[in-house]
Order: sequence, then C-alpha cells, then structure tokens
Amino acid sequence: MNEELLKSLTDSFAVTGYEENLHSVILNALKGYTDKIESLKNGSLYALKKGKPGKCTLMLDAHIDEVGMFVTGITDEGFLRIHTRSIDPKVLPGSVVVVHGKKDLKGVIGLKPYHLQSKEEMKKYIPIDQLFVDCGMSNKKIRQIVNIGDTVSFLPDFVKLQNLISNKSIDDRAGVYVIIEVLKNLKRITPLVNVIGHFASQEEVTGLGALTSTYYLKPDFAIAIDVTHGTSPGVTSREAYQLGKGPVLFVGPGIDHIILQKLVDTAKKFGIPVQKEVGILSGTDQTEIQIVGKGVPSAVVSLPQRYMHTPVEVIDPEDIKNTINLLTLFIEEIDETFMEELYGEH
Amino acid sequence: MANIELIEKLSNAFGVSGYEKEVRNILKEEIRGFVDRTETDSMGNLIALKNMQAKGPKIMLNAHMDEVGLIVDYIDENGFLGFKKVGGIDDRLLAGKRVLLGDKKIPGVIGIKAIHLQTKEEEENSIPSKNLYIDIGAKNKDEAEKLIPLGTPVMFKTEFEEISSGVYIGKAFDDRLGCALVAELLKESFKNPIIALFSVQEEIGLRGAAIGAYKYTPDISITLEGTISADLPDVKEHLKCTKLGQGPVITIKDSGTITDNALREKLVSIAKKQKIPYQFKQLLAGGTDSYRIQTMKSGVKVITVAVPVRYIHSPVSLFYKTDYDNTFNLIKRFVKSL
Repeated sequence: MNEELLKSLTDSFAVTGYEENLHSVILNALKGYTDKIESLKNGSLYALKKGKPGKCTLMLDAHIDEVGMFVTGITDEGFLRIHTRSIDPKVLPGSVVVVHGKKDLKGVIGLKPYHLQSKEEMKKYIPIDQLFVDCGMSNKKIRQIVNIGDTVSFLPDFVKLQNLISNKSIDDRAGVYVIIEVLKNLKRITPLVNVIGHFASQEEVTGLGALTSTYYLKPDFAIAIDVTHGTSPGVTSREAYQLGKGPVLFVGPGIDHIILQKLVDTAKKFGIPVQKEVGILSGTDQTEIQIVGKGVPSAVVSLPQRYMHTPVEVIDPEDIKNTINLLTLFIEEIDETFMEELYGEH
Repeated sequence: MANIELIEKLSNAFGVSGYEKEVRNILKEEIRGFVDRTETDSMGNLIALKNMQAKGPKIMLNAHMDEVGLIVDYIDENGFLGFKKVGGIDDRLLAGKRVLLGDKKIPGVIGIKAIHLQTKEEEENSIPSKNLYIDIGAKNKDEAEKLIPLGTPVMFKTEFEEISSGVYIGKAFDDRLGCALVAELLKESFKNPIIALFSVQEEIGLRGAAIGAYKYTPDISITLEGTISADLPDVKEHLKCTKLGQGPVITIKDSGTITDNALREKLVSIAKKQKIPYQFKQLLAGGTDSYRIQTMKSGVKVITVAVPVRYIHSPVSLFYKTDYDNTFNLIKRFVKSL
C-alpha cells in the first residue's frame, strides 16, 4: 500500500468543476508507466497503456471530483453563506473548512453557543442556509479574496484508524488510487487490449467527464471503480457492505453481464473475496458510460466505505489491495474467447 | 505580547475534565523559576505560590485546565464506541468530527449514516448524541475493548492555527486562554502575595476550585476565562453576549456570581486611563470558578475577566490576539495597582 499516494490524492482539493488540482498528482504517480497521458477540456485526465495487439480498448473509470459547498453570499460582518446539495448539513457545525478564494482560507462553521440555546432549540435540525463560514475577517477584507460561487471543502486529515484509513474524499480517490496501481502493474504484463485509465470530472453533479470523455475516447468496454456504502451503526448489511470483505460487484440490469461474469470467474480462480450489490442502475459514472455513442458494455467494481460524503470517510486498505488484484488479473485474463463473447453478444 | 507558542501547546493538549495531567505538566514547566513553589492537590489542581510572605491582600489568579469532551460508556458488538458528554456540548456539533481517545491519543471518527441512506425524516432531524458512535477501526468488540477500556476520555482533534492575521482557531480556548494568561502573569513581578489556582473539573460543576480555594483562600480573586461570544449573523445585537475585537470582557453578573462592585470599578478606571478597550458581558449566562471562590469560608472579593471567544464548548473555537493582549495588559496593571 502506497499510503503517501493515497494521502496526497485525498488531501488534494477538487470540488466538482475544479478538478485540475488533481491532475498533477496523477501525472506524477504515473510518470513512466503509460504510453500517453493527457488532460481534457472537460476537466478529466486520461492515461493510455497500449496492449498487444491492442485492437480493443478497456476504459477504467474513477472520478476525481469531490463533494463540496459553494459561497452564496457574504454578510455585512464578513461571514460566508454557503450552499450544497451533496453534503448532509448535519456534519458541518463544529468543523473547519477550506474556502477556495483567490487563495485558500480556513474557516469555521460554528453554532450559537450552547449557553445561549434553549433545550428545544438544540434539538432542531439546522438547514444549510442557516449555517455560515467564519474566516475571522471583516466584510471588506474577505471580499478581496472570496467571491460568490467560490467553492468550499472539508478540511483534510489523513488518519489511520488501526488498519483502516479515514480522510475526506476517499470517494472516489480510492478508485483513482486503484486505477493508478493497476496501470503500474501493467508494466509487468502486456495486455491483449489497450487500457485507458480515465480520471473523470463532475461525477458528483452530472457525470460530465464520463459522458464526454467516453464519446471522445471511444472505449470498447469499461469498468467504473467507485465507492459504495459500508456497514456501520444504523447501517445494516441489507443496504451496505462489510469493510474488509472484498470489492463489491454490482449486479442488475444496468451493467454488462459478460464482464460481470468474467470478474466473478477471475475472483474465484484467484481466491479474491468479493461481495455483490444488487440494484437497478449503479448510479456511478458507469450509468452514463453505458449509453454513450453506440453503447459501451460496462460493469462496476466498488469499494465499501463508511460515512460517505462526510469529512471522515473510512475505508479498508485490504479492500483496495483486493480490488487492484482483481482488476489486474481481470486484464491479464482477457483472451480472444472473452472478446468474442463480449462482441458476439452486442 | 501573547505567547502564542504557549497557547498553541495548551490548546492542543489533552485535558477533558478529570484528565488534566497533560495541561498541568505544560503549565508546571512553563512557570518553573517564576514562582516560589508549586503543588498538586488530591484532585489534580495545580497551585503556584509567589511572595507569600509579602504584606498586602493575597491575590488569587484562577483559570481552569479542563475542557469539555466525551467519555466512552459503551462498546457495541462490532466494536463501535458509544459515549457520554463531559460538560455542556450541543449534540449537533458531533457528527463527522475527528477525535483522539485516552492517554495514547488513539484516533477515531464520529461517523453518521450517509445522506443517501437516510429517510426523509432522518434527513430533517438532528441526531442525539446517544445515537452517535466513535469508529476507531476496531475489527470487533474484543479488539475495541483492549484498545479503549470503558471510561476512556475523548477529546476533539483540532489543530491550533492562525487562519488570518491575528485570528486563531483551535479547541479548548475555554479555558486554556485563561491558563496562558495566568502563566504569563506569573512571570511579572508583583508586590502582593500571589496564589495561582489552575483548577480541574470546572466544566462539570466547578469541582476543583472548591478544594483549591479552601486550602489557599485569597482576599481578592481574579478568574480569567475564554468566554461566550454570539457575535454571529442572525443574532440580535443585545443577545451577542460579547464581541470579538472589543477587548477584555468584564463580568458584572453571570449565572453564579455578582462580581465585586468596587474592584470592577477600579478595573474599569484602569482600562479607561490606560486606553485599553473593554466590554461588559451582556448576558447573564455561564458560570465560573468565581462562584466557588467568592463563597469560600467567610467570602472572597472576586472579579471575572475574559477573552471573548466564538464557538466555545465545540470542537473548534476562534479568538483574536488583540483581545488576548488587551486582557493581559489590563489584568497586569490591575494587579500592580492593588
């Protein structure tokens, strides 16, 4: 496990629409490992590893954007009003956030003090429009740095919880990490197919990166690597998956069953533990990728993760390792028979 | 001017009520050589004495070492930790926070059910602290119990930092700012006998001061605090309690004390003469060790002076250096005048 890489991926800020920050981290990590690497105008980045004969192309997709907030106003006193649709406002009071103005500023989201609240008041849910960010600056001072529309993110803090790892934006930097490591593994293997690592923009909003890059890159088949819910108090194994029990394969009408079967077979052959998540549509980039152009057969491999869209997402490195192994072996196992089956079907 | 290095050390230290040792050690080290004697009593109060043979009224400088936090009271079958609150904390500040547990400062996080999985009702309701759990990454109950025995205290994991020129954030400014002020004041020379009482367990009922002020009872006591400010949007002008940047907060009355009129007037006249800004605490909320000290034996004359702080009793609070400096200067001149 390259903890340094996962740390720099999760510590970096890339609120949806501002993904460029992450490009340099990925470029550095992949230096010397791929045949081509290019930033796209949609905010995505892709890296290509050529196969032999490389008649077909597999795209591995993980999104680089993270959930965030936007500045909607500046009060007379200099506090920032914020908005978000992807974050539960219940996790915000009492936290430090980073405001991405002309420069990065730290700020506090606080509440009226305990001593001045009634018992009734303290039970009330506080919607996002009642919260504010305090950077300790006057209106005049902060206006020189922060504008309406600037983004705000959680404060990063990469922490080891025994064997687990916690930080902001593990969704989906864990997926990004997996793809980087798979591409690095391909140095040892010459795959039959070309492999593209697609580091997608704007998954948390519209799937813009997945939609437009897929059209541009024209992969023949694809796998999205994202996170799914992990079990925790109040979150049962009916709706979530256990950390440490392996990658989660999505099963349902929204994915390609030949790819899924190959993933299942590969896991079985090499003794990699996997879990299955049944749904209709995966709700990941894959849902967009599948219907681009003439259609892209695609599947989803997810990493179970606790407390999604909070500053303290938690993941098990064991699951990351198993996902890297599964995908590397999946690529290694791709043969003419599989390709014929995949294309005979579609 | 403000010893920011000391404030940083104190703010980052572990000191949930009843577990103040780390804070005590920092203070003991800081004041060494500036006082004649220090002692630690049965509850853990740190008492420092200076010029005790001198004539004149005995002056107590008081600040509490403890901070609000949590204590582990339950471990579930999967190794997640339930907790009680130590001191007054709004439950709504806890979800999504990072914490450190026990002497070994084992890291943990307070997670919540992802927003995607919440019902509409769950989404629109706050979460009581009894439904929140700390995740330390334990594999199971056994492992969790070995790492974190029941009763382990928990503090917020918040780094002290200057976020803008003269603006600082961190945890436990209530009352590590008071501790820093007292420690720095002890480095000054005064002609009166000085008793510094760094008390324990203020946040759970002003416990430490009860025995600290019994053993060394002063004639005059000054309690130094980091106090409530509701200097925030959507709060009416007369309900803000105190404002940042307006100087030391002088308490006339809070929930436990009416401070001494004559001493308070003297304090105000010094502030005016020295052109040190000051403000009166607007609301009668919050209690301090002053209550214990004022009611000790046949009674002690007390005043309470504080640095205004936003978001006290929360994982992260905020103060201005100018308020700290003005508080230090005012108290220094006040003590010299006695």
